[in-house]
Amino acid sequence: MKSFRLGEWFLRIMARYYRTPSLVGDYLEEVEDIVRSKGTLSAYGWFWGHFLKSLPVFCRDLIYWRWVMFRNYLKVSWRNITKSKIHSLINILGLTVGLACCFYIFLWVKDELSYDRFNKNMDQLYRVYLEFPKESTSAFTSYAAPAAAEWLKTNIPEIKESARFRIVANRPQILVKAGENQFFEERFGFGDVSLFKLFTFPLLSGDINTIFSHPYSIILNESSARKYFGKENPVGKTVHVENQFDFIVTGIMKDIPQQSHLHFDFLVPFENIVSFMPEYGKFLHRHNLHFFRTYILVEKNASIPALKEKVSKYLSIKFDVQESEWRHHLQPVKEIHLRTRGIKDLMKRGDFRYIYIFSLTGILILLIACINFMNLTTARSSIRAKEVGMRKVAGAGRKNLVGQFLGESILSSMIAMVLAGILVFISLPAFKLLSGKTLSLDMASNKGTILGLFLITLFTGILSGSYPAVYLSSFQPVRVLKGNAGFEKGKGFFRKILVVSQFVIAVGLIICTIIIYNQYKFLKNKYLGFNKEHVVYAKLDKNLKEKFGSLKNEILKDHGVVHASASSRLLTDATDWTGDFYWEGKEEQKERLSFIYTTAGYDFIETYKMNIVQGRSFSKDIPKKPNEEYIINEAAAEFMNVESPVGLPVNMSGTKGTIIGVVQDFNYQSLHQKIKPLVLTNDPQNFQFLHVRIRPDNITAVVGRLTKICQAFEPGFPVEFHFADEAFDILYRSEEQMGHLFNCFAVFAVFIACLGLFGLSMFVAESRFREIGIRKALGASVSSIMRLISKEFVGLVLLANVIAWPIVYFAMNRWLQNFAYRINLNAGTFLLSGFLVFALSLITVSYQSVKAALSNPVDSLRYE
Amino acid sequence: MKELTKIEEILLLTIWRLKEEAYGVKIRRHISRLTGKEFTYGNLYSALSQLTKKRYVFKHEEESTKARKGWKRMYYSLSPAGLKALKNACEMNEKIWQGISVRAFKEEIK
Repeated sequence: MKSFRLGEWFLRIMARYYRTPSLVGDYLEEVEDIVRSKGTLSAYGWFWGHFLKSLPVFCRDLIYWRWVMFRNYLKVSWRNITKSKIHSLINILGLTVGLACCFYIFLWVKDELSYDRFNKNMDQLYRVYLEFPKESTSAFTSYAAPAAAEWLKTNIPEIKESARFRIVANRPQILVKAGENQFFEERFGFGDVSLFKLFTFPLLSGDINTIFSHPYSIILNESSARKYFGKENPVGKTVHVENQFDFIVTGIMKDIPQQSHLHFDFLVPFENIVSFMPEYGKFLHRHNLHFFRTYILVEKNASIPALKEKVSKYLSIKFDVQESEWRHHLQPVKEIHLRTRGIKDLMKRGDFRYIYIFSLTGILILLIACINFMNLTTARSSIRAKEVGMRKVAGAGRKNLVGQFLGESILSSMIAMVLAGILVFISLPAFKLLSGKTLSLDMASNKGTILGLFLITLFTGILSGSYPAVYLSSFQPVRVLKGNAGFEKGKGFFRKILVVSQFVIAVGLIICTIIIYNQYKFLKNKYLGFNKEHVVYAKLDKNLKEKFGSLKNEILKDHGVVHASASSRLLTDATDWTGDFYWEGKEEQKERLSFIYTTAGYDFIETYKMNIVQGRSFSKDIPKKPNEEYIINEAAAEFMNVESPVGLPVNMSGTKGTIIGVVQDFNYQSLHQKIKPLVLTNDPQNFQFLHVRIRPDNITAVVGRLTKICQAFEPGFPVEFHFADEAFDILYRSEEQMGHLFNCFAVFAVFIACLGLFGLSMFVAESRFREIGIRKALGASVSSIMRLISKEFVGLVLLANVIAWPIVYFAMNRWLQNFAYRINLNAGTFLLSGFLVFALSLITVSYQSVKAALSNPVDSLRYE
Repeated sequence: MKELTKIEEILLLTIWRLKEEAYGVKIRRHISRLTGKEFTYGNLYSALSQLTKKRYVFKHEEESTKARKGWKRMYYSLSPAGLKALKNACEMNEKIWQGISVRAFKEEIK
């Protein structure tokens, strides 16, 4: 009988519709009879035959009358929409803008949440990260020791596979050359071949078992293969890297999806990192230096807490170190994108708090739009009241009427959905510009998204229709049909509450926007402790590095150049650690400590106009082995807590030297964080960048000349100069983008709120048309009539301001706590935005009140 | 009073005839036998619900049998109004068909 289930289900619906449960029973009884007399098969045939024959009648009974009513509802709501065009326009425009904002936020949030979900075994993927409870620098880092991956895999049975990965550093781009084509590449990775087993990065050609059997193998992604080799098959061809190394292409992989936390366009076997970064060579088999991302794949049914426990013991087993000193943790790969805050990680990551903030913003904007709809619909209820009365007299129940009005609001929101969809489609490129995120249309057109957007629309329709439906359907037919229904009393109060809450949201968003904007302006313009204007930098290759002395002399001959120097890292990327840093008199418990360090050549301090507060900067005139001199920043001096750091002998992971100077603290990292202790050394071996301070006039010409000088030294290496201030701007790019987005949403929120106010004031002016006529006839002035109409709304907006201020104050205060350097909240911002919204609403309302006040009383008082 | 439709007429008549046994299965089989065509439950219940709405028939539930999986039998009986309507229909039919028997057609249709 199982095969009847679908039929039975439908029969049950019909039985409920006819209010006779025996319908199902009758079928079953007959089926049973036929089974007994003729067998199951013919019973089966009988059932379906009968069922199908009955179906048309069932369907007619079920749908016909509903369809007739529905057609009527549709007709009436269409008439209502077209009858008062301005009101419908305001309603639908508000909903459209609200929905469009919401759609964008939905797409954005969905994109953020989809990171790393493409990996087939995402639930078993973890990243090993490290905690330094006592460290002076960041307490968590996303890196682990190079030997960790192998050790974890062999010693912990739950770990199936492990892989290491590293990009050389963030911005020293790598020069890649193949035939005629050469480009600087940022995403050049070093890694284990097991990365392809862990992550779902499909190989288009090459076998995973042999792809890295040769140490100088390289895997290209599809688009770089096209970029360098065009239509040719790159496998087996040679790629020259940094004019030093030759790699043979052994495989092509698919481009890594945008929604991956891990990106590389090129991958070479991990061991090659030694040739690119000689300073890491001696560390490659050590367990106590942390430069490498380490991922593990665990067994499906492994107990994660137990595994975490085992992993955290790793170093203590290996070195007998106290657990409290260093501890390894596991982070699920699918959480990396959104929950990496607090863990040092060079890549640009998302932040789950933005997800909350934007989701909330989306909901609030939608709420404003819904309130508009509610207000305008209920305000105009007198027009619909007679219809409601008639329907009730004709026998409509309250349920029918609620259904009708909900249906109308859903219809409006569906129209708005279509318009919003078009709006989103048109403005997609602009959104990309604002958010830096490519929201592709095929993502927007996938099933889940469409369903999501549809549900949002449905929800909007129901929410905005709920109050009008309940309100309108409550009319007493006798009273409304008599014509003197007193609907305005009492209900006007609720409407006022709605208007106030709308403006609380709008004012709140505006104030937030202004504060965010001010905070970033503050960060951008803050004195960083050095001067990044008019400094250009370029990457050097090996030959230029060796000839750096003469290159610098040549550069300094140019009259547009003030200073020139070199460094191993850009200041923004200074993330290398000193390893053990020891100074005389260092206390025992501060053992195993490391500072951030970078190499800086002669004149580096001068090039960036930093201030030496004690001692001196690196100087050519004092002959000493250059890599034995250290300059520390004030933060480091404070941390070391010694009386006079200058002249202090120190030992930096085995290299002895002396501190020769203290430089004033300068912000080399994002201003989210306080300045961390930093050590500058002068080691020409590690120079990677050339920095030149140029005179502010005729910058492009100077840069052109500089490029030529470098070309003359090294014709085979394309030197590109960049501006240092741009490198710093990148630090705040994600915040800036968020700020822009937020700005847009706030503007739209205010727009929608004002739209509602416009509609409402228009309605009031209309309904008091005659009253205004009488007042004018009795000698009221234009201004007094304007006051009469504006008074009510303006008061509401003022009230909304007062409510919004404390809420925003607390919220923004908490947000500002994220910044080590922040602006103070002052009353000015609040007053300004309050005034702004107040003025806007006044303009909105006064358009209507002026129109009403200037109208000729004759028009309003004359009866035909 | 509105005229009964043919189906309604047949239904009322069947219920009246079946008396104590007038429930879905019996009614349907009876009509199928009379008309010589399978009468479907769709038509049956659609018409029955109309008749119930017009208060021509009453219905009451009785215990279920095992084959019905707990779905009770619904027995139908004529209300006074239903009986009256049936009587009207009968009178009407008699008037319309007065003096004509099936034999009359045999001569016309060969």
